[in-house]
Amino acid sequence: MKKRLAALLILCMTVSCLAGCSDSSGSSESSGSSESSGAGSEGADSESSFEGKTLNVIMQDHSAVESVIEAKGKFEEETGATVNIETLPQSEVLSKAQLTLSSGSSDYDVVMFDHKYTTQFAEAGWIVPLSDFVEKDNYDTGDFMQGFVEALSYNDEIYALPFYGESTMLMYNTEMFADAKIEGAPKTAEEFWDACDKLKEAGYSAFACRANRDEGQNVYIWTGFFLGAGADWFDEDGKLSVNTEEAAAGTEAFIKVLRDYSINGVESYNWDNVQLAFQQGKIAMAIDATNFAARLEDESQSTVVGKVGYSVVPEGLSVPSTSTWGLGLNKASENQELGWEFIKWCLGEEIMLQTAVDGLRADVTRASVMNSDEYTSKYNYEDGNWIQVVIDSMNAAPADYEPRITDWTTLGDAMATAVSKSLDGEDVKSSLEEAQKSCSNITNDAYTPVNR
Amino acid sequence: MNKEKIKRLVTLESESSWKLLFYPGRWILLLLTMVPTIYAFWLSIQNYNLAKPTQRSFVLLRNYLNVVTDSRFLGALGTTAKFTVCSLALELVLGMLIAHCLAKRIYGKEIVQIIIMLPMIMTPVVVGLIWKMFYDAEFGVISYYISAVTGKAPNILGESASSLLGLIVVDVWEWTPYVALILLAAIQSFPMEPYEAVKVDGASAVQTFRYLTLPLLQPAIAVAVMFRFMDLFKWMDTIYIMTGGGPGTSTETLSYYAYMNNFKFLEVGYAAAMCIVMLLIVLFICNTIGKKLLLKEES
Repeated sequence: MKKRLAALLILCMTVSCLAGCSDSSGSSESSGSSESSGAGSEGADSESSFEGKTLNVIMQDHSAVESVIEAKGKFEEETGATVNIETLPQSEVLSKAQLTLSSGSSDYDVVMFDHKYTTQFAEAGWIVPLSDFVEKDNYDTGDFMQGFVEALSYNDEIYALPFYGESTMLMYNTEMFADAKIEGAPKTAEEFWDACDKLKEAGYSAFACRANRDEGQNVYIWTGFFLGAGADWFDEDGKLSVNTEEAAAGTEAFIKVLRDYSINGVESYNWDNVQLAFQQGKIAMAIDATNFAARLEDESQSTVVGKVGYSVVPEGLSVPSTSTWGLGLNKASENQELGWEFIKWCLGEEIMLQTAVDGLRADVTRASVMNSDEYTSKYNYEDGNWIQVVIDSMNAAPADYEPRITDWTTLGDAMATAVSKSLDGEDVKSSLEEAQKSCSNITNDAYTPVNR
Repeated sequence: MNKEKIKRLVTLESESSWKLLFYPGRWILLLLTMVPTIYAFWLSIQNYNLAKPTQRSFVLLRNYLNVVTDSRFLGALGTTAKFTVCSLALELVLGMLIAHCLAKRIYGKEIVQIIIMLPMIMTPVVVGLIWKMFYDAEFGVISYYISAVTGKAPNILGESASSLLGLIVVDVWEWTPYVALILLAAIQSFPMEPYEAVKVDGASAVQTFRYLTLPLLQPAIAVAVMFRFMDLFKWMDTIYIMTGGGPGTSTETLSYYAYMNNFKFLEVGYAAAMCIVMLLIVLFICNTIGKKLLLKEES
């Protein structure tokens, strides 16, 4: 009897527990169905077909995104939908997107991601090709810089459209250059090392760049040195080749400049540390993203306004990067139509120009915006030289600067670790050998060689 | 009759009332700990990369074999061991000293007790960010004072020789108070008679500590060691903020490497195998600590 009673009680408790669970799931279901029925009944009325809908977007914490968040009220007014934009820092946003997408969840309708992940996301079937939407709306993608569109495509299908794009360039402090009696920007590797020596003699920290092994840090700049020294990620057979003589030479150049000519503590620098050091006039040269200029030339943050020179990275030392973040649609999303509308709005000429003029967006992806009078007059750094350098860099940037492969995180981390170890004093060749060994199963037949 | 019985049951007067208290807890515990562990084991025998859902397959124990031969895993195991042992030893010694000081009647003891708890109640991420600033080679206060003495600003987190030490200091700073509080509670519960007896026998302070206080403290030490060990072994939040495992892999611990495998490389199966291996290590060591320090006391 007692046993039965106890069993009954436990049953009651379990049931009440389950009821609690199903309650919440029930409510979310009902809200979901009301949404879809709303869409159905209003399908004919295109003006307000998104009325009352909620669009969830995950984006990188970035100055360009901030401008969009400020302007999103306009989109909400036009469509009647509510847009929630969640922003996370660079390394977290990708992890969160990967986990959400891989679980088949529809938590996010629109996902912003780094172009290097296009292959992974597309191959795993997490995002939908945008080609159907593009065709249906007769949407013109020709105005976007084609290198970026290509970087966000996989198997000739566009999977995302570029939200912001950048390359790398050499920035230098003209005052320090004058003081060290260096004329103009170094155009070649020899000139670069010569400038380093002269700056060191004059008592300056000549150079700094990202050197921390975090995701997207040291490898982003190191890759330039790696390719600049004549190395390539994959050989003719599509096999990984990061342990070659050229790779070692590039890595050694990267280490030499950081060890002999840089600021104390550079080993743990991320891009924001580099930017701060440049803004504070602590370093004479830096190689980093083209969009640094907007913050270096902003009087509220920088002490070097008007004293910065821009140049394409020295030949033989480095090559300019390709980096773009695009907006794609989650395959599991129930709001793909609305998501597409949002992507179009977000990347429209009008909003891109407006956010660039009102905010700090030196990384627009539309040629028409970059060539517009408003844009060129606002981002008129170094008498317009900056825009010219950006365009030259983007034109010279290889599509496979960092290869678009499914296992990029694994390879990127192995290289980041190898570079960090080498910088810490370990033998360059053996560090690279170790990376090669740990990633030897990664192959890529579709690789576009840079140096071969 | 039945009504009466139910009433007795829910007012905890019946003989089977214990089941009412015991079973729900047991089931919840099973659901929350056993099920995920079994699922982790299930994952660990598969080749499963989230980004390659079509290549999912059973590989039995191959993941385990790869884990124990993975040089980076073994390196992380070494780093974890160094970190755990050094931090634990320092925390015990300092915690013991602090506990003894606080057990004495000193002026303003209550305030000191509250102040030393502050590091412990801070969010680890905040601790990491603050210490990262302290250590900064260019702007940090610690580097400033060291450079004032030695003439050269050290790059504590940027060099593998000192980065782990830098992290140990942070952990000791944050968690010594915890050890001190456990030991203090034990010291304050000691009976006075044995102390009076050894005083009469003429024992020195060192002898009193060695032959009386230490044996009496043993259970408390065992508890402190066990809790701190488990925390230290799975530690990663401050590393994530302060060094990201670098430079090289010099501060990469097991949990950090497992995190990288799961959340960055998306190798869910491999990461699960790694976690199961970690679980076995923790179980083994905690069992040993328990047997050596706790059961000996009882026998």
